Amino acid sequence: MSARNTTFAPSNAGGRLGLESVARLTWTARASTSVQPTKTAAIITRTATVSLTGLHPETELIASTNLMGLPPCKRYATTVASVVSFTRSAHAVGEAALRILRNIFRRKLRAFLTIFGISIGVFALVVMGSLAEKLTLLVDGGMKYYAGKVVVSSSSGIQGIAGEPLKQSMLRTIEHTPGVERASAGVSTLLGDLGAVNFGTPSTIQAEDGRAKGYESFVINYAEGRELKNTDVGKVTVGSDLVSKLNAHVGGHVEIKDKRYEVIGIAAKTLTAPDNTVMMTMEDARKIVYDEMTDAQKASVQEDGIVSSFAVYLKPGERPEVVARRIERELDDVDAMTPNEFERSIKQPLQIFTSIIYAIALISLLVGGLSVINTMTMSVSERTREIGVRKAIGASNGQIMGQFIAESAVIGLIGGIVGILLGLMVTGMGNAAGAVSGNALFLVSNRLLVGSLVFAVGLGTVSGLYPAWHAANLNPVEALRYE
Amino acid sequence: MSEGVDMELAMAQGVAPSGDPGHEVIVRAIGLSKRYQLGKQNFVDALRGATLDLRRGEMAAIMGPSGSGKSTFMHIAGCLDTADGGEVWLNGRRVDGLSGAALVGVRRKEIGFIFQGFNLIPTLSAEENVALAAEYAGLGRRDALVRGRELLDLVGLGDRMRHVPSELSGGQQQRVAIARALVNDPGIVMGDEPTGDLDTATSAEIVGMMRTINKERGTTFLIVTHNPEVAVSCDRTIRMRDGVVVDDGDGTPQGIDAGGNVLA
Repeated sequence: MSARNTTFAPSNAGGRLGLESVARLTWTARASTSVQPTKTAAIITRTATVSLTGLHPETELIASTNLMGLPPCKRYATTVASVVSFTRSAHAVGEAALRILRNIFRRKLRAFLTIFGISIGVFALVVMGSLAEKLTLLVDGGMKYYAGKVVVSSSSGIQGIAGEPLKQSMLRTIEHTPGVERASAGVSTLLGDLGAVNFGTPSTIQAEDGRAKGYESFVINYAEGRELKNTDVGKVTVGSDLVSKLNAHVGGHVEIKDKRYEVIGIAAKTLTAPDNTVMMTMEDARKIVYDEMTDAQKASVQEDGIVSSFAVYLKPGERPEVVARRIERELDDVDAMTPNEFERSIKQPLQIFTSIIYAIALISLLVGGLSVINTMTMSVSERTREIGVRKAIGASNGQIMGQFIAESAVIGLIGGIVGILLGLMVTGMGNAAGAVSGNALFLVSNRLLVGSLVFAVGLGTVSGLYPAWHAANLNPVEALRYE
Repeated sequence: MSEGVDMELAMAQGVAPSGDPGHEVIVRAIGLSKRYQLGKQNFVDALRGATLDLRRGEMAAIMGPSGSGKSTFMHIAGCLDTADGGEVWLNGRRVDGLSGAALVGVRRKEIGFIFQGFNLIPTLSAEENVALAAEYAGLGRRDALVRGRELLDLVGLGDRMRHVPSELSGGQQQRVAIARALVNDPGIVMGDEPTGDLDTATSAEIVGMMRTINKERGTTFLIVTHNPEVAVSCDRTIRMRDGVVVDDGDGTPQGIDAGGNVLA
C-alpha cells in the first residue's frame, strides 16, 4: 500500500498524546539502541518529535536543549528517555495504574462476589458431603459386621453397651435354638473419657470368647504384632485410630481404666468400629465391666458370667429373621438384630440424614446459581450495545451465546475450585483436630471432589443459559440503538 | 404498503422494479418499507418505499432530518434488519427474505460497519478488535491477528496495536473501526454517523481516510451523516425525508412527498 505512510502518518501528530506512549518511548529508546544504533536514531527522532509535543513547556525545553548538539545516538536516546521518564513517568504510571485498577475492580467486584457465592455453595457441599461420606462409610462397615449373623444384646441397652448385661448361661440356650449353628459371647464397654467428644462410633473395649473363629466373615487383619488369644490376659490389641491417642506400640504398654496392659498387636484400618476399639480377653473385660457396676448391679450378676452380646451364626439356608424371633422368644429382655434390621434401623435413617445434608448444601449452591443468573443478566444488559456491535461485524447467535455461557461456566469453575479449596482446608483442619481423639470427622472422597467441581461448572453453565440466550437473540439494530 | 404503490414509486424514480442489477450496482433497494410498532395503535413508518441504486466503487452520503429513515435504510441495506416490503439486492443477489443465519454470513463477508461512538469492544486491544471480525468470519486467531495488524498499519495505527479502546482517542478508535470494517475485504462499508462524536478536524481526517481507501481499494462507502462537510467529500449525496429517497444525488432529483407524489 503505497499511500500508507504519506496519507496517514501525519495524523499521528494530531492524535492526543497518551501518557502510555511516553512510557513506551522510554522503553523503545533503551531497548533498541543497543541493537541498531543508526536506525534507532531515526526512529527515535521521529517518535520524540511527536511525543514531546505533549509535555510541559519546561520539559520540552530541556528535551530540545539536550537534543541540540546531537551526541552519539546512544546518549541521545538515553537523554530523551531519562528526561521524559523523569518528568512524567511517576505521575503517568501512577495515574494509569490507578485508572486500570479502578476499571478492573469495578468489574471484578461483582465477579468476585458471584464467584464467592458459588464458592460458599461448593464449600458447603464439600464439607457436608464429606461428613455424609464418612457416615456412609461407617454404616457400610457396620453392614459388613452385621452381615451373615444375628446379634443378640440386652433390650435395655444400646448394642450391648451400657445396658443390663446378659449372662454366659444364655449361650447354651441360644445354641440350642433351631437354626443356630454357633454362638459367640462378647463383652464390650466404653473405653470412656479420653477427653474428646467422639463422632461416629465411640471408642470401645471389646472382648470375645473366640468361638466365632471360622464363622465370622468380618476379619480384622493386624498391621503389627498378632491377634489376641483367650490366654493373653493382661494384653491388648489396639485399633488403628487409637494408636496415637493411647500412645500404643507393640511391645509397649497402654493404660486403660487405671490398669496397664501390654500391647501385642495393632489392627489394620477397617474404616469402621474396630478402628476405635481395644481388644482384650474376656477375663480382663469382664473385670472392667464388673468394677464399674453399682453394688446393686453387682449383686445380681457374677463377674465371670457377664456378656454384652452374642454373635449368632446360622445354619445354611436359615432365615435370620426367623431365628432372631425364636431367640427372642427363648430369652427374656433380649434383642436379636438381623442384618436387615440393622439396615432398617441405621442405614435408612442415615440415608435420610444424608439426603438432608446434601439438600442443605445444594440449596446454598442454588443460591449461588441464582446470583450467577443475576450477574450474567446484568452483564448482558450492560453490554447490549457491545452485543449489537458484535452481531453487526458478523457474530452469529451461537457465537454470542457461546461467549456468555463460557463466561458463566468459568465463574462456576473458579467458584468450584475456590469452594473445594476452602472445603479441603476446613475438613483438613477438622480432621487434624479430630486426629487427637483418633476420630476423623470428614471423608473427602474423590467422587465428592469431582462431583462438586462438575456440579459447580454445570451450575454456572445452566445459570448462564437464559442470559446467554437473551443476549444471542437481541435484535442487532435495537442493541445498537441501546444507550 | 401495497405492491402496487411500490411499483409506482419505483417507476417514478426511474429504476427497474426488480431484477438483477448487474455487476455495476452493488446495492439496489427497491420500495423498501418498514413500520415500527410502538404501541397497539402507535407506530412509525420509518421507510415508505425507499428506492436507491448504489454503484460499485462509489462513496455516497445519506442525509436527511432525524426520523427520515436514513439509519433504518442503512440497517436494511446492510442486512442488519429486514424490511416489511420491498427488495434488497447486494452484489447481484437478492438478500431480503434470507434467513437470519444467512444474513450473518452476508454481514461477515460482504459488508463492513462503522458506527457512531462506542464502536469497539472495550476489553479487547486494537488488534484484537480488528481480528475479532476476521475470527467471526472463520479465520484462525493467529491469522486473524496478522490480518488485524495489517489493517491497523493501513489506517496508521501500527504503533497502537496493543492499546485498548480507552487508551485511544476518538479518532483513533474510529480508525480501528475502519480497519475492522475492512478486515474481511467487503465490497461495501456502511457508516452510521461515523464522525458523529468527532471534532471537525478529526472528522475530516476520518472522512479523508475513508476517501483514500475508497479510491485505492475500490471499496464502496455508504455513510449516513448529519454533517454537510462529510457529504461534500462524497461522490454523491442521497437525501431522504419521511421514509423515502427524495434525491438520489445522481443528477436526477426525485422530489417525492410523503404521500408518494412526485413533486414538480
